[in-house]
Amino acid sequence: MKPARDTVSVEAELQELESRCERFRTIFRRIQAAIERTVVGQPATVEAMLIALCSRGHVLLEGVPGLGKTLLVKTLAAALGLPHARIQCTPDLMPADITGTLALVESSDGRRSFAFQHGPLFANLVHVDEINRATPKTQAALLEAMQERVVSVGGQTHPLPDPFFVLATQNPIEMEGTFPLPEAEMDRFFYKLRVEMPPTETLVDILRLTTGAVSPSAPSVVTAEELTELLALPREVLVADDVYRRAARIVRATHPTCPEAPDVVKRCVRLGASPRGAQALILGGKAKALLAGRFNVAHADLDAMILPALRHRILLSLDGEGGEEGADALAHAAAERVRNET
Amino acid sequence: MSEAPAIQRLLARTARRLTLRRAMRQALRGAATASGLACVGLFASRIGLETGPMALWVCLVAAGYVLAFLGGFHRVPVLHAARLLDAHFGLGERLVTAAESFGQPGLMPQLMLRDAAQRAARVDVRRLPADPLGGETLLLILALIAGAVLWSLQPDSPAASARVTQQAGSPDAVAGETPAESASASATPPPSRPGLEQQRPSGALRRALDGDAARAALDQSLLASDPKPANSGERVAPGGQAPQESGVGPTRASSTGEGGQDPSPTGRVPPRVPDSDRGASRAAFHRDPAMNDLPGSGGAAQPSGQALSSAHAAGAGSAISGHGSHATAGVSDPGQEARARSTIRPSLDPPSEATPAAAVPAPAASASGAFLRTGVPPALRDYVLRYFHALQASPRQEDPS
Repeated sequence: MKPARDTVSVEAELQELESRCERFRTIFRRIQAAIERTVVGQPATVEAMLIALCSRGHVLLEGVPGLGKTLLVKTLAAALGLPHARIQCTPDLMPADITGTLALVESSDGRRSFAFQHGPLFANLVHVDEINRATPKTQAALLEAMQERVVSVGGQTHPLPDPFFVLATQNPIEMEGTFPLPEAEMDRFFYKLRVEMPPTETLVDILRLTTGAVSPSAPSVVTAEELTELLALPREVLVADDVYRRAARIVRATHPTCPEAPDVVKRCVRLGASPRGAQALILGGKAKALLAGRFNVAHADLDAMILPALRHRILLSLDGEGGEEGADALAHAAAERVRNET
Repeated sequence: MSEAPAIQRLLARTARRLTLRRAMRQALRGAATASGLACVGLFASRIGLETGPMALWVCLVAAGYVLAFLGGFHRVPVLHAARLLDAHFGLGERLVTAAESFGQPGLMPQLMLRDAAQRAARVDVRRLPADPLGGETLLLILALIAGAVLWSLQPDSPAASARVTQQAGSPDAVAGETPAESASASATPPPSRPGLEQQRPSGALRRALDGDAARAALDQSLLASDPKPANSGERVAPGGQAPQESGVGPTRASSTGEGGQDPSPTGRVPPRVPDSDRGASRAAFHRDPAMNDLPGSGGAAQPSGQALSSAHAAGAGSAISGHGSHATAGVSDPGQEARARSTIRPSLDPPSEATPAAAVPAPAASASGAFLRTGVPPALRDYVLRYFHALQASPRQEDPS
């Protein structure tokens, strides 16, 4: 009778896992709906941002002023119910301003000592506004926090809270007085999302929503437990070797020195995507697969994640900068080449 | 878990179908290639190319294709079948992942297998689109048509063989039709060297050649020559052309008096040589470009025996054309040739008393000596000697006249 009981047990566990996957989809769609009630006309951006959140990745939002980038981040923080902080980057912003510093404090008995005062980085969700206005020194401090999820101050390492999620924004137009992010820091961002100008009907909805007497606000729609599950489950999704190989080939095809790169990549790209790009493809594909009701990553999941995962990891050459092909077109060309070969 | 066997069965069934399909494709390709090679061979023989090495190449390529065909029977991997099913039925790489997840521990692989099995249950392998075989089939049909056309045009085909046999068996074909006419009529490619007995003439010509007078004249004109060292066959024209300095053909032709025409495929007839002036005329023959057409390649109709109407020139030229280097190598030793001549000479030396020498006048000694000293190719000489040796060994037929 023991095998039968084992079978029953396995069956129950399978059902439990299946219900977890179903819960993942439910929670995800719930958060997405809550955000879209406030941020109108950016469903793809919202979904990609949530996928990055589920993959524990950081997001760089790029768009001209006034498109709702800051609103999007604030709404997400509100919907998640997480402690969040905002850092407005300026050229005089110092690393200690974001990481925290040692301050001399006096105790009640009059003894003085140095104590670490946490900076705004010690939040679950950090909104770094206009990140390219910060100096490289500050950007480097942010880089350590993003990659290592720790802050080192005064010889001491302070871990950042979990989850730690950086949402940075930058304006691609105003370049005066800015410090473009170095490639290494750019590579730390899981996704780079472009916030596009909404179409007319969407703009009308935005106007109707934001010019009334009551401003919309997103309530918290997820508990800490649900959020933990949201972050944990995607890693369990299965990936076939074929899919791994495809992701690797796509990334390699973005390198001009690789033989499998298309001609346009060889001409317009100076440096292709890093292995982090392939990781972003796979991790994002896993969350995407769960959302699609699958327990394995498909090629279509990778294809959906190519642009946000690779566009900021492709460095254009002079020809590429001067030509019409942007990083998006080049990433598409690389993926198309791999798709045709398989 | 019952999901895994179901998926494995589906993948195995698909792999079997794919294997069978690939084998069919390979078979079609092999047949098309074999037909194409046959066409090449037929075409090569049709235009008169050397087909010996070509046959070897054909065999090699055919063997390679047989190996490739056998290789086509290797079973299609299950993963390949899974990829195909995923792509065609839009399964989102479920089967590929499932094929890699058999036996993996953990709940997620089992959940994944269950999901894949549910999707696979709706898959009908028969709806899998078969690889189009139209290209291979069309290629095979074209190759077969081309082969059939070439084969029907081939002189060795039954129809052509029957025609040639009929011509060879008729007396006119032996005595009346010149080899040039025969060659132009049948366009027979240069044959491989037939046996000596096959080259022997028949009918009236055979009887004429067996005459003692002819044998005496040839003996006198040929065996009196000094053996010359072989010169690596330099007098044997490439491609089987008759030796340029050969005067034996016209001499023999004029001596028989039957059908002694130039067997050149061009149909050119060398000038008849008066018997009294044979030595000089041979010298003239050497300069005559028409002699370049002597029956090396021009002795085309020899297999059926009709070329012998051109007398010995055709046979000699043919022999050299087929085995020029061979014959040359065979007499590379002057001593060997001398021994051969001494062996044959006693049987040929005494001219027949029954036949008057005037019937077949021997060339003047000065002319004959001049001719022989100009250098009869050793290969030709060797051939003529061997021919007469065989002629001597064959049973005599009494001349009914």
